[in-house]
Amino acid sequence: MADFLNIAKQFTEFYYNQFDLDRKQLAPLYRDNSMLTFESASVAGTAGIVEKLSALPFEKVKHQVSTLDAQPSGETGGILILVTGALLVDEEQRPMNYSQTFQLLPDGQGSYFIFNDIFKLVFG
Amino acid sequence: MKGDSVIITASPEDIEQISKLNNFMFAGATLRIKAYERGSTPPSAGSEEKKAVSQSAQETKEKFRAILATRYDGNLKLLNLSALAQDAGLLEMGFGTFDGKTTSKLFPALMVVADQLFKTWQEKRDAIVSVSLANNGLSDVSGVTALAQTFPDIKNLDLSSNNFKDLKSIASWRWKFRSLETLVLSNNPIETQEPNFNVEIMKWFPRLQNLNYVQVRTPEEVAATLEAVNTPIPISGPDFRDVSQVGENFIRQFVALYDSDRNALLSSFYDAESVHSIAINMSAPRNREHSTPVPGWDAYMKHSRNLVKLTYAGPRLNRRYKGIQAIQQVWSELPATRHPDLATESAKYLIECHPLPGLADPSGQNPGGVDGLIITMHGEFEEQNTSTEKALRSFSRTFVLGPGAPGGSPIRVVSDMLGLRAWAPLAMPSNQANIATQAPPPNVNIEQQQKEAMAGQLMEKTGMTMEFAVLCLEQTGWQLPQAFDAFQQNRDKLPPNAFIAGIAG
Repeated sequence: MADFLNIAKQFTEFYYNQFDLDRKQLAPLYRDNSMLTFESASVAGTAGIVEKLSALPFEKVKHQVSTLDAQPSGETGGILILVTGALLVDEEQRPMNYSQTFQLLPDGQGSYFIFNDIFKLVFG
Repeated sequence: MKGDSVIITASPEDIEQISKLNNFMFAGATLRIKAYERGSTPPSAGSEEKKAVSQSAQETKEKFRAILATRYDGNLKLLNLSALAQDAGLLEMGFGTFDGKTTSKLFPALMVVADQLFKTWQEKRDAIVSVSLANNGLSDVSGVTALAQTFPDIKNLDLSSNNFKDLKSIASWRWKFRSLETLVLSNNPIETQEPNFNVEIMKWFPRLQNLNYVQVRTPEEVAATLEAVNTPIPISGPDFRDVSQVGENFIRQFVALYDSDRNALLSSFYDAESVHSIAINMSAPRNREHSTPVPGWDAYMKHSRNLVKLTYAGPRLNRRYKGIQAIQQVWSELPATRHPDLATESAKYLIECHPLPGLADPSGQNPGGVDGLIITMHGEFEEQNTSTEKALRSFSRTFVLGPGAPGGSPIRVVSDMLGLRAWAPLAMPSNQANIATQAPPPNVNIEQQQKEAMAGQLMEKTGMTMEFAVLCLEQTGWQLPQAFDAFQQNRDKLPPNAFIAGIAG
């Protein structure tokens, strides 16, 4: 029962490590029916999502997760995750607060993929 | 002063910079500078060596001051630090051969002395508006980077006739000089070696109006673009893709009822399967301007289900509140709130709404699940429990809404996740300034605008051209979700010219 919590935690750790290391490598986490809404611009499909992430106007990035909460969701064993944290990019000294909501779905092969990914910088 | 020793108090960074002048030769004496911890005994006045040494330090400082004085133009408010290698005063002091090493020793010390000339930050800002570092043979800014710490607010900077070859050589100033309006980089190799440097430079300095004597932005354009580059990631307004105003109506009722009657809210939208949880973010960074004291989190802490901090399985599960009764219990323990009015204070909210397929069907008729909405809402509320002080908090709340069970309300909350943090105003959309400065075009056709906006969204989502996006929307009665579905179903049948080049695939 507590399994989804561990999955949520492992997933977010993996996601942000990979994002900060090389966000172009996040493709395996998305599928062609995935949707990313990054700062209100929505992109569907793995290729478009990775292209969008790669084109973000910064090179160095570091996520610091402050809170992580997860709930089971959906008919098929999905997990809803709400993350709030701080983001440091390039030489910028001032961390920015962000909020990110993920909806994970099982991929039928014992793993999960990101079905919905909604990122927002929340306040300055 | 003690005898010939001069004891000054300086910040650790300044000590580091001043100490770099240690062992410099001048006027036939060797300068010795030493840092002493506060509280430790300063050198005794009797030491012969120390006498000479500290006198030298004071003399050096005086000489620096004199040099700075000759290089300051009060009318122009210009500190002219150009061609330091030819400075008679510096030559006399022994700064003969000028290379990067000399600069990196001399310059920070010069900046420390310059900084000490001013009592307040404002005084400094008023006195020095422009700085010239022209003709210094600089190949990068590493030796002179103290300028950005000492004079971060200057408006005009002359870096002409140096040896800057590329953007990298000045990149460490990328996030500095946030007030810079004029920059001169002429007569540097960068002009020919990186011909498009101006594009990048404009991004680095959001207030820049004049680059190499050419106007690159008007003051109006600066005002308009300022918000856009305020953060490294441009902030956009909300993306609200509702279905039949379900999301909008829910939010309106949620905000009103959460403040006035939480039980009514529960019975309207929550049921036995609704899940609610709360996570408190106590480390959210805040802008210095907003560092008002944070009211205590006591009332929330025992409900906080932050999985980063919470590692025991018990609380992790206990703090997931399922069903009306459990949620009611929590809400009765949380402070009463007042959310800003959605209609008149909409700027205090940022609400997004997207369709979400695959939810559990409470009627059990659709094994594949039913469609719902995912709503993310960011904003603030005021706590009502403290009568004397206003306690503001910021929140991010994610809802998953789905169709209700038969016999219940038509819409139910599947998930309700609340994230709380210390109050700070919401980030403003980058395009707000643009909107504010643009006069509304005459004869605005609102319907046309909405259609264009929809077509734009569909283009963004699908990579289709405007023409095909409009076609797709026309065929689905200008309903964006349906148009997107239609696109997904027919994607493979679309001709290549339906897509904007480079996106199809």
